Amino acid sequence: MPARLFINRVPPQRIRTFLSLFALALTLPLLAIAVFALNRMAGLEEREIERRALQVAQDLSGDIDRELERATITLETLATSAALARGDLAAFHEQAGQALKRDGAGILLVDNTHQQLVNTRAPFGAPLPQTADPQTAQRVFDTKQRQVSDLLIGSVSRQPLINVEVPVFAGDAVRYVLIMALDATRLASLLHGQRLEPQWVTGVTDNKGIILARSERHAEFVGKPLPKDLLEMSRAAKGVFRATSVAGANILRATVRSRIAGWLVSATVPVSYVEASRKRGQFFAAAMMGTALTLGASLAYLFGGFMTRPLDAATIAAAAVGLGKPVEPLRSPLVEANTLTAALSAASAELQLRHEHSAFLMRELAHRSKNQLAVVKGMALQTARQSATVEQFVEQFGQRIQGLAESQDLMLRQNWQGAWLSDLVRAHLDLFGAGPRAELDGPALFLNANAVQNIGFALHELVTNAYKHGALTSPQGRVSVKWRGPQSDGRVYLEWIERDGPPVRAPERKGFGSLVITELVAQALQGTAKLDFNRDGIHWHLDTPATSVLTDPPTITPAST
Amino acid sequence: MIALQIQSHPVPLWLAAAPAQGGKAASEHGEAQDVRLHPLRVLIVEDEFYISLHTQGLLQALGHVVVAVAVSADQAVKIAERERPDVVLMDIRLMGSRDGIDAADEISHRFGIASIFVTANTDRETRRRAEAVQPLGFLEKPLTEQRLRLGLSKVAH
Repeated sequence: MPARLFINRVPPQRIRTFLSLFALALTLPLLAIAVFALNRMAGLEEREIERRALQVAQDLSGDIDRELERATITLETLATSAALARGDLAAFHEQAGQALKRDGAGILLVDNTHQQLVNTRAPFGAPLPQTADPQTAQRVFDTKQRQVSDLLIGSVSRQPLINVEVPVFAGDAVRYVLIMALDATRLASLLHGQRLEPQWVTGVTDNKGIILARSERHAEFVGKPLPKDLLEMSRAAKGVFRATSVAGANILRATVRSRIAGWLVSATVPVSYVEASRKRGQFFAAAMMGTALTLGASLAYLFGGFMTRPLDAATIAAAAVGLGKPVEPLRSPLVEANTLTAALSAASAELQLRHEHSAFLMRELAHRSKNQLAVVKGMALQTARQSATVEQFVEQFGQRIQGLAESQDLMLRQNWQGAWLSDLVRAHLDLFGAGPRAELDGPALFLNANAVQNIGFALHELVTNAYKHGALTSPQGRVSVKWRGPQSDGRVYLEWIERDGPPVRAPERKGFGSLVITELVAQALQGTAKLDFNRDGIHWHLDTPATSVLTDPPTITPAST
Repeated sequence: MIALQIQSHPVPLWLAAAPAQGGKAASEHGEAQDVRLHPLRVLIVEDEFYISLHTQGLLQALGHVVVAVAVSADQAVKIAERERPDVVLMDIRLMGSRDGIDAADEISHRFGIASIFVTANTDRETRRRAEAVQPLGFLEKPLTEQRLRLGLSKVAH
């Protein structure tokens, strides 16, 4: 029902439209499934990237912590130096310099006034400033434990660096603070230790939110504060989040806190990288959709053409049928159109036949009606000649007209082709109500139009005579009508035999009726007729060539009963 | 054979209007002289006897002689050959395989005798075929004395 409601509401559409809809109906569910699957895959890939980002941040954090541990171990070893214990700072300077196997670091010794006593970045004995980061040194004096500074600018090197500071004890009290100053670039080089795709950017931010190191454009960003919101999010969120990077890009950022220094170690990738898979999927889905739609539409157009052209041809054929033109059956790739045009072709042929037949009937009718009027005129004149009174004329003429009408009726039923002889005999007998008193005997013979007319005239005169003068004047009188079909002699015989009537004698004078049955009808049928006045009743005998009275019965209309 | 019978008994069919006195009827139309002086011998070809009887009566009233009535094309040709009438009054539609046009054509070619077609409604095609035979004329059914006289006036003696 909904389908019908829908169809009723939508205006008629071309086949191509339906085929396009069909193609769409086939492809859309598949496309939907594909899009869902691609989306799902993209989601999984995103999760994977997020997991990886966290992993990278954790690994880096570990690397940094290890670096800080190494520095701590070096410092703690130096703190137990004998030279330092005996106050030989020159020897200690020497020893510390040797302990620094790598570049990018310096070792400092400061006293409780934060005055540098030794700095490996300067020759021993050179005047030294106070430490650039007295707060961290003071924390070591206070806590007697290792401390790691935030970013600072070295008072000697004038470079951004961080300090790892350990106490040097004299008994229980902290006598000095031993510091390893690590260049920020060292941390940056650590960031490069992880081999990552170029899209990845890693970084370290100190507890004040100042950028310590960055894997990309380090020199540009070091010492700069992390944007406030990014810092807050990094501090608040554990794990992965999306934000805008210090470089202004949309990023996915994973942040982990350094265990030793408390710094924020982050790994970021552009959101575009994270979403590349989704973008690829979307592009792929769009391409698939485009291809499917184009292909669907093209195929719909193509197959529509296969159907539309034959159907158009069938439509033209149907119009031709309407105009009465002949139609040839179509030979197209579409079976239905072929069947349709075959039916139309048959219909047009049938129509043509009927048209010809009705034209024939019209001509026939036009001719016959006029010809019959001439017959009626002749009939009227003949009847008038034998009528003594007007009443007699009216009666006889009326009966003859009636007889003519009976013959006509029979022919009309057979498309003017003729009539069955038995029908003709019965019709003329029944006109006078003589049917029950007559006995018919003969094969089925189909008479031509001329024979129907003339034998009809003869039968009419015979029945009239039988009622006026013959067997049917008495109640016992009987009539027997016999005929025989075309024998080997090619002739047809028809007999009218009266019996059981009043005694018969030949009339003195031949009337017109007698002339009709003995001469006129026989002559018209190119045969002969004989009338015997037997004692028992009259006996009329007609003998004609079959060719002049018979014709093929029409096949269109069945014989009347 | 049959035609001969008819020809031999024309009088009983027509009773009073005897051919010998035909001029009396025709005189009313002012052509009595011509007819009496030159009665035509006419062959009627018509398969409806009521019509042929009527035509016969009209011809006799006009003072002409009906040599015979034929009901088919073949019969018409046979009688024309034997009787050599002055003119044939030819019905176009006849029983049998040949029609009146065929018969008129053959009679015209073989014996030089012209026909006048006497017909009910004719379609254009039949009319064209009939004209090709070059008949003396066409007469519409049912015939009247006036039409018949006009038609026969074209017959050359």
